[in-house]
Amino acid sequence: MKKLLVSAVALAMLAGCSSGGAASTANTSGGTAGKSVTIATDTDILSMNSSTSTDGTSFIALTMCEAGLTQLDEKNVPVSDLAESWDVSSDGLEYTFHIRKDAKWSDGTALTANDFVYAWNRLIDPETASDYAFLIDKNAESNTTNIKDWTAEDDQTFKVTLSKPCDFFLSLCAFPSLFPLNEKFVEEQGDQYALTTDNMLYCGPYTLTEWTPSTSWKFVKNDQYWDAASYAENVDEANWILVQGQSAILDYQAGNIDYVKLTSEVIDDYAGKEDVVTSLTGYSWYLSLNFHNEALANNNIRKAIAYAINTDELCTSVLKDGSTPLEGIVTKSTTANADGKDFRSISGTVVPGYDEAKAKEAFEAGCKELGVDSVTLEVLYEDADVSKNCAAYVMNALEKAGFTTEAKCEPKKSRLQDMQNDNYDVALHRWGPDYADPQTYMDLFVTGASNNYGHYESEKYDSLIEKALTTDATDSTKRWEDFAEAEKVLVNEDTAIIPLYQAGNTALQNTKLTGIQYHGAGVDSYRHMKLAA
Amino acid sequence: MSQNLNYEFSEDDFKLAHDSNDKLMDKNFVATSYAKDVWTNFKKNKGALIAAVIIVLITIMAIIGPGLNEHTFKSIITEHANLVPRIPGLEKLGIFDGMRNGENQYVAKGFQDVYYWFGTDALGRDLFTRVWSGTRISLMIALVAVLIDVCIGMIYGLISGFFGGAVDMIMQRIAEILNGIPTLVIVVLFGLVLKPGVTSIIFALMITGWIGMERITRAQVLKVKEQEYVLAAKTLGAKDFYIIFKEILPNIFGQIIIESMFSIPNAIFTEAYLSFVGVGVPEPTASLGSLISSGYNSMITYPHMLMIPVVVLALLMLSFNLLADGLRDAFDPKMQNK
Amino acid sequence: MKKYIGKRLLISLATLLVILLVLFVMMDLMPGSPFNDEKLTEAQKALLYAKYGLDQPFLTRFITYLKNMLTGDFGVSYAINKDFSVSSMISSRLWISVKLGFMAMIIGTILGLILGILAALNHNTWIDTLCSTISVVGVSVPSYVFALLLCYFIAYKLGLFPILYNAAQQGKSLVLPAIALSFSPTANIARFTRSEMLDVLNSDYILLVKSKGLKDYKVILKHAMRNSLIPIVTIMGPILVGLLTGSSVVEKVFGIPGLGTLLITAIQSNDYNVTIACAFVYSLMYIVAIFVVDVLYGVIDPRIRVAKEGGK
Repeated sequence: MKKLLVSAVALAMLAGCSSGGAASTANTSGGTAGKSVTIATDTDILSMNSSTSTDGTSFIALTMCEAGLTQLDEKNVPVSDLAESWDVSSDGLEYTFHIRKDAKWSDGTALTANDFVYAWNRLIDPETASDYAFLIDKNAESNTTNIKDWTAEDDQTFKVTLSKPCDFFLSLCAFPSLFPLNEKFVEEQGDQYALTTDNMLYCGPYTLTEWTPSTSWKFVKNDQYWDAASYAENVDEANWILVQGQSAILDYQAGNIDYVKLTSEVIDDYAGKEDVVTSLTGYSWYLSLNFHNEALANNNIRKAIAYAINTDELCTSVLKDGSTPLEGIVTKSTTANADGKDFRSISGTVVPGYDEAKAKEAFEAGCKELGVDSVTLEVLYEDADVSKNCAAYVMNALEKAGFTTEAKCEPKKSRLQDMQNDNYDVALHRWGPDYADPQTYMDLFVTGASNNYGHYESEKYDSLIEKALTTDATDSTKRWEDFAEAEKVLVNEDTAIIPLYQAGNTALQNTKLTGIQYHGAGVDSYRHMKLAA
Repeated sequence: MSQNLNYEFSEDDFKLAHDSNDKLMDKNFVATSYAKDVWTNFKKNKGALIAAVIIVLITIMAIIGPGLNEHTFKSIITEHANLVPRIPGLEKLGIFDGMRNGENQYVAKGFQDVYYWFGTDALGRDLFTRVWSGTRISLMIALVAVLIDVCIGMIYGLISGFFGGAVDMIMQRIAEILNGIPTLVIVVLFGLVLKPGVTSIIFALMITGWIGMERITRAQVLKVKEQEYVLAAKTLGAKDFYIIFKEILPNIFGQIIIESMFSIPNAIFTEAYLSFVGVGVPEPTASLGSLISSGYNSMITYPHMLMIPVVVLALLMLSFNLLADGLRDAFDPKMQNK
Repeated sequence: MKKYIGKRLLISLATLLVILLVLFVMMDLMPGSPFNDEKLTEAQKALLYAKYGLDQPFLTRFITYLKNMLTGDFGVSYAINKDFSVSSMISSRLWISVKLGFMAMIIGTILGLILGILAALNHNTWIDTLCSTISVVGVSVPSYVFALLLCYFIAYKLGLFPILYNAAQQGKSLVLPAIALSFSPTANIARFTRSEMLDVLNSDYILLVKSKGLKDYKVILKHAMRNSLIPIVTIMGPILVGLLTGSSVVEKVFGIPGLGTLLITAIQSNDYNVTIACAFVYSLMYIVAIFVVDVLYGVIDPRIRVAKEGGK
């Protein structure tokens, strides 16, 4: 209680006369009537073209102004959006979506099943070179959803056939890459499509009206949206501005911003305030170990690393942003099977866990096996502040266990390049889930997989994954058991990677603002934002 | 034929102009060397003198500072994170007493007997040790970079200025091209090709840092090379390089020393800028720049993490600048009587 | 004079061309690619390379780039704002950066001149030391620290200016960043002015004017000022360019969409076209600054013009 009071005093001193929360937000809207919110983000929109955009900020913007067959509700359950309803065949191989009759593009033209066919064809077109083609690439050897084909039976009927059942197919239909595109319009715009607000059509609850790249963008309500009526109470205008750091927090306290991320450095002073909101993302941060390094090829050495790091302390004392220690490679509250069960509740805790004595023991045993006295590892991390602190913490822990460490700090793209080039020992790496199923993580470590940077090779692991994807593909329970077993092999038996933490997100949010939904695996949804008077 | 021829000189036709016993005496000064002259002049400048003392003090601290307590620059004690400075003795005076927002942080967290002279950072690393080891790295980067700057810049400027003409023209264009490419691009590239860190920063500073030195040297050479003594040496058949190094260089050395004094703070500052942009030294190594850029992230909540390295950096910059100014005045005889 | 300018112009153009070539080579050496996204397959990457012509040999790419550049086409962004034309990305930011740079330059020049002249007139007194100290403190503290201090006290506490950049109130929201940026030019100009003034004040012709009985202030204004200002003009160009390149950190603090931030993002995301274009714009400014200074110098000081024309 005392602590709370202290931080309140601290904040009061800091905030001066401001009450700590955000006051009215009218001053950013430039005098327009209606409710308007301003959200600070630290990353730019990469592309508003749903076939090629890849990053979180773009996806959030796309879910504001476009829509898919389904949308995720608060509990991550797919509910109706542009598809009024759908029928699934009993074997789970045929999906028939019934597109709404009142679904329209923002220019008034009707939205039909053909718009989905076109968009999906475009996504898998090699010319598009989309990052997410692998989800539904029916021409490839295999694709994530086991999709076989899709057709438009008529304007209102969109039919999808799968070769094997896919548990998460309906959730995935809410993913921006699978949003519809208006063929005529997109072809007309050519390579100018989605480069300005005029060069795109909208089918979501909002339209993008102003967009200055790398600065700000603004949405206003779309009265052509099929569900416009139920959006009456929602904010009329949503602004995003690209700022970060302490000046953005000051601007929040001055009442000009309604939502801003807190960095771990300043979190202490806000702990316990009512306008602090914490959420978990689906990002899994782990140490990728390169098996081509002689020392790291030794399981005892890898075990030593796993035992050496106290992930609890890392989360509570270093990151402080609501991140939680990972229990395996799959994050929690990200995946849900048909019964709504979380994968973590099935697989349990599989990480070896922190144990300083065991770390030293394993280190010595490993050194003996290798016939060396010391092991020097280079820790590769990217130049973000969070990674910096985390890397410093990890290196300190490794040194305590007996390792010698060197650091290499690079921009993210260069870090990835180094990992792809096999030019690293230990890398602080993350993976974000593409869909709400453990498979999105488990695929990474199969022998020969392109993202298996550490060259981990295990027949046991491979066969378990193979089993999950073939023989047990139709049985959700067995499939998950296979994954759980495989995760145990990966993280515990072989210690092929060292899971660290599931990234959290702590932000200051105007207490009057509600309706921001976080979806671990999907795209966080801001389309339901409401602002109390 | 003229009657003048018959003129006879008489004794008193000539007289000594100064018939007195006056003797012209040269005043005798004690011979002083140039270096001594400079030193005498330099001593008069109190500001520069103080600056020199501060530089020496900071250098000493950079050498012994990291060893003055039991912490190392990378040892993490997370329980001790974010502590404000507390110094035994001084705390009784109400400064450096571990108080934050009216509450003694150390007592509140149960560390009655713990003292961090400069406080700790977000990971609980001792800032006293980190600041001085950071100063060490920054000074090292600056010194190495400047040393190489002086070598490259000086020789480049000497050659370019002395030979003039086409040589000068080409060499100046090359310098212009190097200077025209933003430093950031060069550093990042070095960081990516080499391993990012101290070495790549030094290399990058080397590539662009010497241009200032080259300019000054060249301008000085242009001024000096038309002087009589150079002409004399030329006439006597001295070789070009003899003239450059034996005749010209000693006469412009003062300017070169001054310029190198200015480039030390520049190098330190560039390093700080690179750290802020994210291409500085990697963790857990500390440099003044990396300390400032990580302290900046908590500037509003924990100002001590930023202020202490900033003060050290500012003191260094200030001292080197004042020292350079003092040296310039001391080297330039014109300034003496002013 | 015309001949001199013409020759100088040609040299500048050639220099620029070489800089562009060097930048191109540097980008080529840069490890990593804008497309090394984890989710792309090798085949997709190859297609992207082909689409943007990055699979062509070096010279072909360079020549195509040059050709396009002459028509104002700097290519498209690969990794920052996908497929956006780089020239439009740069032009909108350039003006903000230039505005900011000029504002900082004006503040810096005025303050710097005042400090420098005061210091020179009171050489080796406490005023001199004070002026030097003020100006040196200005360069000793990183500009982003000033920026956040201004942000906190003037914008947040007093509410006099917007905290973050706001396109609707552009002028007003650039004031604080300009002040934060102006500390370093102030110091540079002050130091330079001081030493130039001292040089001039100690020169024979000033002594002569003094000995003729002119009052001090007239001497200073009429003779010393004019003569010491010439060299100051010459350093202003490079300082301005330095301001433009150094503004990135201040831009970051105030959330200003300027050129500096763009360059950093571009480098970090391996966006070749944006990096080259940004760097090239900086180089262009630098070369133009040097060119202008050279020509100006010739105009102001006839001795140099004659020497240069006669020399070669």
